[in-house]
Amino acid sequence: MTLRIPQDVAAGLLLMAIGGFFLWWGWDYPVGRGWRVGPGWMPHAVCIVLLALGALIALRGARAQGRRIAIAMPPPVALWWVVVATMSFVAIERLGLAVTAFVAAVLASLPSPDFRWRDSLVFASVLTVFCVALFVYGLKQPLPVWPQ
Amino acid sequence: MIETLYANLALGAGQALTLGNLLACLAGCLLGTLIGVLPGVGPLTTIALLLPFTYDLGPLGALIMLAGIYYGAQYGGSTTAILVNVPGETASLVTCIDGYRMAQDGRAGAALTIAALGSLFAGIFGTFVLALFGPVLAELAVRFQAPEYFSLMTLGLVSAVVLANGSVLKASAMVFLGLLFGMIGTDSNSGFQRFAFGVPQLVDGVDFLPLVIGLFGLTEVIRNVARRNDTSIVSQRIGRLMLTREEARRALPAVLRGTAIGSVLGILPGGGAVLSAFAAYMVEKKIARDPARFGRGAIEGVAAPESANNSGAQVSFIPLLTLGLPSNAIMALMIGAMMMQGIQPGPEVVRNDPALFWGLVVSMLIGNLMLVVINLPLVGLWVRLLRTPNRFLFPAILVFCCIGIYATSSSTNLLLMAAFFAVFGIVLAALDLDVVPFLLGFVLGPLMEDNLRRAMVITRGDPVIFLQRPICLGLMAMTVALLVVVVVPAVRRGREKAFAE
Repeated sequence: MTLRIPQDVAAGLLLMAIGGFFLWWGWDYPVGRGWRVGPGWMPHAVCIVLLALGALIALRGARAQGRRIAIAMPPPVALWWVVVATMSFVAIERLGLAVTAFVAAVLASLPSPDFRWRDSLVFASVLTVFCVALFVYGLKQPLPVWPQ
Repeated sequence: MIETLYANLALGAGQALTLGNLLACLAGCLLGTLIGVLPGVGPLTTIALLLPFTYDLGPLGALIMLAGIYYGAQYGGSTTAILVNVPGETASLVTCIDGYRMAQDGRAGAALTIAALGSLFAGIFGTFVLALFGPVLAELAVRFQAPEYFSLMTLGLVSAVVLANGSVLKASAMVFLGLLFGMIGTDSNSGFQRFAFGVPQLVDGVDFLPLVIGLFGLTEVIRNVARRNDTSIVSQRIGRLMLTREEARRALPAVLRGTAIGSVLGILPGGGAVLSAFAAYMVEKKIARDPARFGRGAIEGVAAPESANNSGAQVSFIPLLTLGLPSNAIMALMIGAMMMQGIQPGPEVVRNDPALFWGLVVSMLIGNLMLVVINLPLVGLWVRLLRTPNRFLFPAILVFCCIGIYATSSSTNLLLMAAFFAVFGIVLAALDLDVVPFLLGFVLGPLMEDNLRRAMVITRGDPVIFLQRPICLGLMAMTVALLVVVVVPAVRRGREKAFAE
């Protein structure tokens, strides 16, 4: 994946955005007076430094425009399916470990270039049995196993 | 002094030799070797993944197992580096250069042997350094108060930035970003709520587990799940395990030098196994009579870095156990493990809980012995594991991550938080922003703020206190010296050259 803007400019802008947002959100946190440092003092200081460092990084990145850096990104499908698989695990409260582990394992193997339904289903079943045996019966973790 | 050492080691042996703790040690060493062998899964990922399951082991068992994973990975990483030319673990990156050449020349057996024996020697030496200097340092640090702690943590963060790989500017920014995330939640001094954004789960702060599992576990899954296995993995002829006389003559001094380098660099904040291995390889190349041999199967190029990464791994426990200061990301996870067990890391640990400190020390001696047995005779088994397809391995890791998060909290919100940090980690990596300084800032942030504010209360707001107390002054002077060093261009060039190699 390639980005139009240089990597460091994007990095600097992201850091400035986070610093700026937190500063704005915590603007009225009490800073304290004199030696009684209030709960707002550190956040303000850290946000201001973050804004300054972000600006420096972005400026230096913009100046060094000559050399473009290829950004090594994992394939977006991998990102997407891993996030979906993790979120699907939220269903454990209702559906129990046996179902969620199986579903998450299948979802997470979808982005593989060698994905085959049969292999993946067999693998997910084995993994599910292993997880239930190890975590619920072996390690006695408090996990629901079956759908409620 | 020697007698107290014996007494202490005996105390530790009593703790470490119980069946449960021996099993914890064995499990840690086996897991460490396993993930050390597998490329793409490092000790950071594994420790993050296993943190939730060490809850029930008790403080000592948990630390023994997690430590075993760290130094076990240093052993396992060399196997893949030598046989497949892929670093199983970051600290084994330089071992590939000469180790793989040795394997091509049919000397893989010798390379594996020297890597394992060098690691054994270095591991035991490093453990004794920990046993001798740990208590002395802790004794010194017991007198530390808020201003000293604040100065110490500042020094720790600054040197972590200086020694970090890549841009100093970006690493500093990541420390501050970590500090900012550490502030989310209720302020412990005033009870004031900061940056909760109306989300009830954030009132207690960002939870440590989803943060590390997201940043270090799930991001690795994302990076590797769609990657095909290296097909170049062919069954290598391992050859005789014994070293020739000539090889032994060359390797022995290299092991000693590597061990010494690791024992020094491992203590430094930002140091640890990776830095030690790189430095040891460079030193060998510098002092060799014929540097051209390096890259063509010089046994010193295996012996030195493999010894250095293991002694470095061992001594990086010193700042953690004596000062409560994590020197690298793994130690930051260890702090998390200690806090989860209700132990406040700091100099009091050695004095108030000698069984914990000495139990861990003795377990390291046992673990290093176990690892030689686990690694050398069983090397064929580990190599076969390299054929585990990524499309099965990484989905399994994802499921373990999810179970770990849910089992400790019974809260599905933390799963969503982990997914958020996985995406965040990928974005940061794409922008070449290192997450290790972020983690150190996140862990140290609340402690630093607390100590700063307490120092301010002691002195009624007079910052001169940092210059009046001798230890503070010394620490602050070191911090300033480090900052100056980074800014001086000559040193910066040297540093860039060092990381380029």
